[in-house]
Amino acid sequence: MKIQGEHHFDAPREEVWKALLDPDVLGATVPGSQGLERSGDNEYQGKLKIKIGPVQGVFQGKVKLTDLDPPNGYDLKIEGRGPAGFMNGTGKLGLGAADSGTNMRYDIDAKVGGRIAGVGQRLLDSSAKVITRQALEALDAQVVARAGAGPTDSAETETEPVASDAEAATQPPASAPPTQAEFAAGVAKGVAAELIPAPYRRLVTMAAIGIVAAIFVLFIRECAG
Amino acid sequence: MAVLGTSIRRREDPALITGKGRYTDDFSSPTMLHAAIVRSPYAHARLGAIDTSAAAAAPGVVGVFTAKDVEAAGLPGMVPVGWLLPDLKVVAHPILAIDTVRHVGDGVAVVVAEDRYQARDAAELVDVEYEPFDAVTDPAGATAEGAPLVHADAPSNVAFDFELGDSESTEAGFASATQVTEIELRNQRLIPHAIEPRATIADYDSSTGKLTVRMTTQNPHVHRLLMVLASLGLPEHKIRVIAPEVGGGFGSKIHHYADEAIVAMCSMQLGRPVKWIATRGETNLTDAHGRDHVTKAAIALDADHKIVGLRVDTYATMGAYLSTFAPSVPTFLYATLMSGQYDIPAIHCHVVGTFTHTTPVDAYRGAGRPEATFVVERLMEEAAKEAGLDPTELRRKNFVQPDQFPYQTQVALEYDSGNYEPALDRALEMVGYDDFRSQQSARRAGGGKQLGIGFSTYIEACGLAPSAVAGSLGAQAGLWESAEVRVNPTGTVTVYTGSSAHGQGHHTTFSQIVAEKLGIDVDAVEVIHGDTDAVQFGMGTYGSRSAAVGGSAIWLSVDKIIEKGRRIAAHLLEAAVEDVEFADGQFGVKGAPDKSLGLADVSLQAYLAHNYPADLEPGLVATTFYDPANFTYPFGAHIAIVEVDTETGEVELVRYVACDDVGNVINPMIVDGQLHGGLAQGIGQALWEGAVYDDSGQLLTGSLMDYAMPRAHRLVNFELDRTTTPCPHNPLGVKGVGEAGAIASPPAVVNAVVDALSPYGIRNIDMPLTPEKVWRAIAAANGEGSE
Repeated sequence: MKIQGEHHFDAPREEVWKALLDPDVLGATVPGSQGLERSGDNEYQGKLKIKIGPVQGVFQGKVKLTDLDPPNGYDLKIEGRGPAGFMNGTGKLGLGAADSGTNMRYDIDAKVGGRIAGVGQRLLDSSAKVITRQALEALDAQVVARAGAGPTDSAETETEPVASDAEAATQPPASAPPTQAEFAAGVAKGVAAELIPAPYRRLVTMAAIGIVAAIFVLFIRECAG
Repeated sequence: MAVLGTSIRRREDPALITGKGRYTDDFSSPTMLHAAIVRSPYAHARLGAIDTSAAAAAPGVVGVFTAKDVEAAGLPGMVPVGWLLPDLKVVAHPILAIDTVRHVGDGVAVVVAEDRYQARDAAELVDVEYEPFDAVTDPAGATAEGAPLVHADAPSNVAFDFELGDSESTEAGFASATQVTEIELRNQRLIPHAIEPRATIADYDSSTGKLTVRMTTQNPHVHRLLMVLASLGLPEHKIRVIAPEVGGGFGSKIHHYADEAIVAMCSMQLGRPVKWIATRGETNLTDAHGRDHVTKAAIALDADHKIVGLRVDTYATMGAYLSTFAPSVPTFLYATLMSGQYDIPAIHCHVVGTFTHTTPVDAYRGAGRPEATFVVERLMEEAAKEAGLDPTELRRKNFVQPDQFPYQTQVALEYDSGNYEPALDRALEMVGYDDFRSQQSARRAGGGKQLGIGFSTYIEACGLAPSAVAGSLGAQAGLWESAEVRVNPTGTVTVYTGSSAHGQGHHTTFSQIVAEKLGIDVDAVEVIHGDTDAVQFGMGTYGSRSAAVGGSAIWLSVDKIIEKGRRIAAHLLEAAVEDVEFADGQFGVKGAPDKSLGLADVSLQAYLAHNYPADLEPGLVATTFYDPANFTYPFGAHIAIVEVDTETGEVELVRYVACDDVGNVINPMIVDGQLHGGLAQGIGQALWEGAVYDDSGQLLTGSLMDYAMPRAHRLVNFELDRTTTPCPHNPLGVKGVGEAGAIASPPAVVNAVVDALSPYGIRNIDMPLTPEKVWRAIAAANGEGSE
C-alpha cells in the first residue's frame, strides 16, 4: 500500500520541521493515537487504536527517523503490530519552501498483514487516506497555533540541535486527536469521494440531509402523537 | 415394493432440521478446556523468541504451548503427506512452526483456557518475534530465478515434476495437424467454506492411556492412522476418533491438519478435555484450499476435425506444505482426465507442482477433475470456433463411440462404459438449441444484453479407487471400503460402514440397499458410521465413492447374510441348502410352498442356536472389504445460457440444463440434491468465488465480505435429466454423483459468456467472471476494435 501525497502548511518550514519531530504534537494529531513518546535518538514509540471496518485493535508502533536533513526532510521507518495484524512501512518526508508557507511531500510504502489485511483490506486504502488527511489537518492547526504563539522562536531555535529543540519547545496548544465518530464519518466521506463521481456528490449529500430531516420530522410527529 | 430407485425422504433430516443433530461443538463437559491457536500474520518469516508469559498470566489460562513443548512431550509432531509421487520433494511440516513460518495462518503457539473467550483473548497476548522475508504466491512464478524459497531443501520451489502420456506421439500429432488451437487458463484458488468450521475435542485419559478425539472428519479411520504414524505416535488401539454430525466438508475435512494434533497434545499435557473450534477467519486461512492452476494447453485437429493431439502444461501450487492427498490432485486426478469424452490418439500432460507461501492446497469437490474438464472443454469450445464448427458438432465428431468400450485412453484410464451422444441429444432437446441460436442472433442485431450458450460434455473418474491402480499411482493406501451387516436377533439390521457421511444421506441410501435386498422396511435398518471404536477400518467419504464402493460393500455383505440365512433355514426346515431360496424376505424351499421362514425367524434362530450341526456357526453377521475393479465413469452434457450486460459486465445465469449419466440411481432426490450442490459450487467458481493473495502473501479474501459465495437467488432452477448406462463392474451398477456438478459446470458457464461476447473477438476471461473483468474485456475489445 502506498501512502503518498502533498500538503501545504501556512507556516515557515522550520516551524513545520519542529512540529514533525515533537512527539506531543504528533501524538495529538494522529486519529486513534494513545500518545507517542521518544524512545531513543530520533525514535518514537506509542500506541495507536485503529478501527478499519470490522477489525479493531491497538497497535504498538515504533517510528524511526534516519537521514535527518533539517529542515528539508528525513527518511522514516514505521513498525506497528498488534493482535489485528501488523504494518511495516518505509518512506520519505520532504519539506520545501512555498510561496506563503511550506509544502510537505510524503511517500510511504507500507506492508500490511494479518486480520487487518485479510478482513479489512477493502477499507484499508480509504482508511489510510482518511487517517492521513485528518492527521494533516490537525497538524496544520498545531503548526499554525505554534507559529502564532511564538513567531520569534523559530529564528532562535533554528541552529539548535533538533531533538533537544523539540523538547524545549513550548507546549503545543491543547488538542485532541479526532474521535472514533469523527474518524468513521471521515472514512464514509472518503469512501463516498471514491465511489461517487464528483458531480453527484452534492446530490447524494443533499439526499442524505433530506432523509435525516425526514426522519427527524417523523420522530417529532411520533413524539407529539 | 422396490425401494431402490425411489425418492424416499432422507432419514437423517428430522434430527438435522430440528436442531437435534449433535455437531462437535455441541459436546461439552464440566472439565472441558478451550484452545486458541496463535497464527502467523506473516507469509514468510523467521520465528524469533516467543514470549508466552503475558498469555500464561491472563485470566483463566491453564497452558500455553509452542513447538518446544511438542518436542519436550516426545511427540513425532509432524503433519504427514499420504500420497507419494516419484521424486516428490517431501518437506517437513511440524504441527507448530519450529523456526520458520511459511504462510499466513501457520500455527506458532496454542493457548488453553477455561473458556474459549479467555483463550482467544490470551492468544493475542502471546508475543512472537518475526523477521519477515519476501514471499512468493504465484504457482508459476514460484520457480522463477531468485524467487524466495519456501523450503531450503526444495530448490526452485519444485515439489514435483510430473508427466503423463507420450510427448513424442503428441508432437507428431501436432506436426500433422491442420489446425492448432492454444489457450492459456487460470483455474483460480478456491476456499471450501463448509458451513460447520473445522473442530476438534480431544480427551486424554491418563488412567487408561486412551485418547478420544471428536472431530470434523470425512474419514475417521484415516485420521486415526495418520495420527498414529506421524503426529501423535500413540498406539492405534488407544485412539478413538469419532465424527459426530459433520456440517459439510467438500474435501476440506479429509486431511489431517496440525490443529487436531495440537489439541490432542494439549489434552495429553493437561489431563482434561480440550475443545478447539475454528473461527470463520481461521477456516479461510487454514482449511486446505482448492485448484490454483496456471495452464497452457493446445489441441490439434486434422482436416476432418478429428483430434490428433492434446498438450497440457500446468503449474499447480501445493501451498506451503504438502497436505494429506495434495500431490495426487493435480497429477493422477487431473492428467488422467485429459481425454475427456473424446477419442484422442496422443496426449501429453506435464505438471509442475510448486511450493508457495500460501495455505496448502488439496482435494476440493472434484479434486483435479474440474481443472481437467475446464482445460478440455474450454479447448473444445475454442477449437470449434476456430474451425467454424458448431461446438456440439466438434464434440460429436470426436466422442468415443459406444462400440469402443472398454476404451483405453492415452492417460492411463480405461473407460469401462459410456454412451455420450444420447446425453448431449437430450440436453439439446431440453434447451431448445435451434430456437436459442435464432434468439441469440436477434439480440446481436438489436444490441443490449447479449445471450450466450456454453457446453460441457464432461467425464469424470470417481468411486475412488481400485486399490491396485491407486497404489501404482502413488497412494500409500488402497481405496477399498468396508461394510459389516449385522442382522439382529429380531430381524432388524444394523450396518457398520467405513464410509463416514457428512451430509450425503448415507443413512437413507444405504438403508435402501439393505431393505431392497432383504425385503424389509427401510426403517428396520440402522446405519452406523464415523466411530473407530464402533466400526471396522474404513476409508471414508470423498471422491464420489460412497455408493459405488461403500454401497457395493454393503450389497456384498447382504449377499453373504442371505447365503448364511439359507444354511440356517435349511437346518430349520430340514431341507437341503441347495433347495432353499430367498425372495421377498422369505426363505422358502423349492417345490414346497408351505415351507418358509421369514428373515426374523431365521435371525432369531441364528442367535438362539441351541441345536446347530457342527458345521453351522451361530450368528448372522457378514463383513466385506470391497475393492472396486475400476473407477466409475459418470458423464453427461451440461448447457448454460447466460445474459451478459455489455454496459456493466454483469453476467446473469438464465438457464442451466444438464443430462447426466450416473448409472443406476438409488435415490433420485438425493442424486438431484448432490447435483444441485455441485452445480452451485461450480457456477460459484465460474462467476464469483476466488481467493486472492497479495504479493507479500496476505490472503486478501479473508472473510465472507470479500470471498463471494454463491447464493440461491443468483442461481436458476436447474433443469436436470438422466440417461442410464449402468456401471458394469459394481453390483449396484452405480457411479458417483457427488462431484459431477462441480466438475461439469465451470466450463459450461465460461463457454457461455465467451460465446455471448464472441462478436467482440473475446476468446477468454479468467474465472471468476466478475462484472469488472467482463467489462474490462469488453472495453479492451472495443478500444482495439475502434482504433
